[in-house]
Amino acid sequence: MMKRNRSLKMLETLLSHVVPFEDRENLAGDFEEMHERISFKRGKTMAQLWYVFQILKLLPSYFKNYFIWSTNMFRNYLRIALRNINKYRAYSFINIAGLAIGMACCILIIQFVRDELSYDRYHEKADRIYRLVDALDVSQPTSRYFALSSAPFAPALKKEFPEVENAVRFFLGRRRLVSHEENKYYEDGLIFADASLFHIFTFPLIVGNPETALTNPYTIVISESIALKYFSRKDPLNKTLKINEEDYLITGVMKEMPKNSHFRADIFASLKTLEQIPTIQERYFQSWARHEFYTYLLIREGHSADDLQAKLPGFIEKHAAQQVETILGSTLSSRLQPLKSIHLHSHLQHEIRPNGDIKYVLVFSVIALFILLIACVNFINLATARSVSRSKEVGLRKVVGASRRQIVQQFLGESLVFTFFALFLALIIVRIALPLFNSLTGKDMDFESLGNIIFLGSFILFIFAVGILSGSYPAFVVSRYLPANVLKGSASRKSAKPLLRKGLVILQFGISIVLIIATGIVLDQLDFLRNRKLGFEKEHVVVVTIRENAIRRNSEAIKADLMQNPHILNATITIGVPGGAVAGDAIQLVTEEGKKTITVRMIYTDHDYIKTMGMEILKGRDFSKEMSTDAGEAFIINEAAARQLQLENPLKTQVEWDDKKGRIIGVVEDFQFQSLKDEITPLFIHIWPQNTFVFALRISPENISETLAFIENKWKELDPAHPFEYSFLDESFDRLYRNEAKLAQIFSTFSVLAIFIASLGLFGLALYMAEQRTKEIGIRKILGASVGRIFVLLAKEFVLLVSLANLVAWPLAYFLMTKWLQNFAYRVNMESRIYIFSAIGAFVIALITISFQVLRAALADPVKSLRYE
Amino acid sequence: MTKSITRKEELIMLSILNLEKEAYLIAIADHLSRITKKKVSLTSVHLPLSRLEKNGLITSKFGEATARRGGRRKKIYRLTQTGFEALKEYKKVSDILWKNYVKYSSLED
Repeated sequence: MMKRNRSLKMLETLLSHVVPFEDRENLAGDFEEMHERISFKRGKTMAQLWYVFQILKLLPSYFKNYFIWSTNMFRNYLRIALRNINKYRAYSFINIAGLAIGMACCILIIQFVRDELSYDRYHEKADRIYRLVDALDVSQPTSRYFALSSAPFAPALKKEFPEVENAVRFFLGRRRLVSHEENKYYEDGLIFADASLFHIFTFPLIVGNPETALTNPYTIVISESIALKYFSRKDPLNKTLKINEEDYLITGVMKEMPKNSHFRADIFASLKTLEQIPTIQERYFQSWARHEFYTYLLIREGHSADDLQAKLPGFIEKHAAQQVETILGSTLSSRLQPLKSIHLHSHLQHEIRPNGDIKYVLVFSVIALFILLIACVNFINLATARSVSRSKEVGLRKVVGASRRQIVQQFLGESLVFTFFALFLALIIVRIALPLFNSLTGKDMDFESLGNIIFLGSFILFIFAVGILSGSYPAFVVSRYLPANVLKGSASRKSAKPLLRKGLVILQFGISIVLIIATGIVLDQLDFLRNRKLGFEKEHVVVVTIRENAIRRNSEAIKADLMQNPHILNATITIGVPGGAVAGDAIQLVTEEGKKTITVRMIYTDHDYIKTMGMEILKGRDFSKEMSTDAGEAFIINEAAARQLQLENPLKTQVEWDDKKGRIIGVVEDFQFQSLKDEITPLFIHIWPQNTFVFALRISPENISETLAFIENKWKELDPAHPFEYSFLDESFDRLYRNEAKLAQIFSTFSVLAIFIASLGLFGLALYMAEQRTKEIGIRKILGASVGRIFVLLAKEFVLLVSLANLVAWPLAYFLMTKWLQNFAYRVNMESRIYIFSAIGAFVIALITISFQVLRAALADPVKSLRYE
Repeated sequence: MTKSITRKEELIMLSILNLEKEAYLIAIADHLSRITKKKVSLTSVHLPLSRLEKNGLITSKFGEATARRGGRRKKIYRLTQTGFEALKEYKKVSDILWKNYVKYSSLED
């Protein structure tokens, strides 16, 4: 006998993997015989090569065999799985419905997150675009960066630093009336921009030359939808649109801007239009101290923004510092923000539009995962609980020759079947729920966008992950059964670990309770914000924008005329109502200690502002028409200003501002002129009718529609050129909390879903438990137990689990919500009632869920349950 | 109905008949290569063998263990009744075809 060497052995093991079992022995023998013959004739190496070659030749038939057998087995598994689904409909429904809801939540939230993360990434040069943002007096703790910057930055930076390839400035046009022949609409999306716009951002033009489109004054590029709106199907190129009173030449039509942009424009007008007006040129375009422009820089390839940022202080020192110091009395700092991070990470003052928040993206993702986790836990719990009843099947399979691996495969396969059913259902749910979700999140996603390849691919992976995650535990448990024990009937009832099951129930309910508490607190906070004392009366104030200079000039006469109507109680013209725009400027105070310069918020208005808004004067007096100096020389400040500026006697303080001099005549009670997220900052109210933008009218709560009609008629006489538009102050004020309101809605929706899925699981467990203990209950009843006692006996365990879940959930919820509330300057106290309510809620839901099953078991006729034996 | 077989299968089955009690994989391959004077690889015999066995044309049993093959037994093949029928059917068909050729070639003369 030839010595059997190592390599031969290795080759044989290889061979044994590719040959069916029944061929293994003789083929190995045959091959060894041949191997020996060849190595004798042509050497060992040749023999080994030959062996390898043989194995390779056997591979195709091996694969074929493997495929045939696995499909055969798969068919069997599938049949068994379907039979099981059909046999235990309640369980299957609970599993599939729970998983489907969980998956649907996940799909929706993944879509949401994808959309949030995609902001501004469609620009070809997105990686190299940065926004320049400024701050005053950064060393002071109250200083905040604002998204704006001054006009001279862009051209000067481009000139001085070669690494700045290009720069563009935006100036936001307010809501303006745009018209073409008889088409007249108000448009919000107007941005004045430099001609370099199209070089930096990717906004493809359908017609027009991007190189020259915005180079001349009074030229505009409009979006497709604007073109359609004003010109229907006609070619808009080289036609004119009237914006407010001026005609603008259309030099291009661009594709509709993608929705995932941090700014929105339907019309880009050339910034030259403003620049060539001498007064504006001087006041805005040459001043380093007027922060009215959004500045975006394109950094040349191969250069880093950090390097440029490091050079900014020097640059500011050289060009801007002195001017800013003289005008504002502050130091100026700038930094660069990557374009791609603006939407989720930038929350500066004066953002173009409210941005998203990476925190909410994270919160959403975590909630989605939680819900999916709860659904998976249902699956694990029910499958392990039920595994006892399938022990006979497993035992039999093992006796017939199934290996443990095959059993695991079968059970994993089954959970995959469940997952695929669930996915199918989930897609239907998504299809139905998408509009609701869109309104919840303020997005505009469609079902078709699900059909992209990467998404589908990752989704299949996701399904497998879910299937394997939820199927693996039961699979490994049942595959461990020893066939002899199982078939003897002494299958250990303990084998499905109740401890784990209980732990998982606690986890599910814990998560649900956290979500309920979070919902409660978010709603509470929102309620608090809405009903907090605002310092003014927000109800029944009608706000109309002033679009005609004559109205501004004759405001007193108009007001008198309007107030002829007994339902119009008061009227004022102002730069902005609370919740709207408020200007900020530097002001000099002259006190006994000397002069100091500070930046404060300013409201420009007329004599009747305080009265109309229903504010309260704490010290001094309101503006009065009897005092001729009030118009132009009087300032009313808020409490915050008095406090923060440490004015001992505010009424004696002199004020200098630009070329104006005056004094403080009164202190008004603090009122909320910004979002309640921010603390109330120092504010000066000053009479300056020329600089006002809105007409605010306080009307009586009766006959509102008639009063509105009256105002509309009057207004049409005053300003026939513009369509009449109005808003109510309370509505626009509530809009400040839209994000929080959205969050509250989302929380409540998802916590309802979470508790629903968790209840489904509990229902299943109760069902299972009642079945398992039928005989025990029967015996107890025969021995005299009452229905009530049996109910208590069965419900006890669940009550205990839910109590434990509460104990786990409370500290967690407390911790998380404390962090969230820190976002607000004014916040509710977390009241213990929310915790107690959520606990009671969880108990009630749990009890209702199980009581049906438990009662059924407790009421069952013991004769029936015991008759079998 | 008898199952139809291929030329390759016919050759293998005939070899099994020839070899009688010694009809195992290597012997069959050797036998075939000796008679056809061509190289016959083991796999090219093994696959048809498995198929024939699956279709019930041949059966197999394990022979005695021998020291030469690392103590492993040979798998000895044997024709079944169906297999033999199929072989005869194959021969019958070829015989008819041959006969026809003889007829035609005699007409040519």
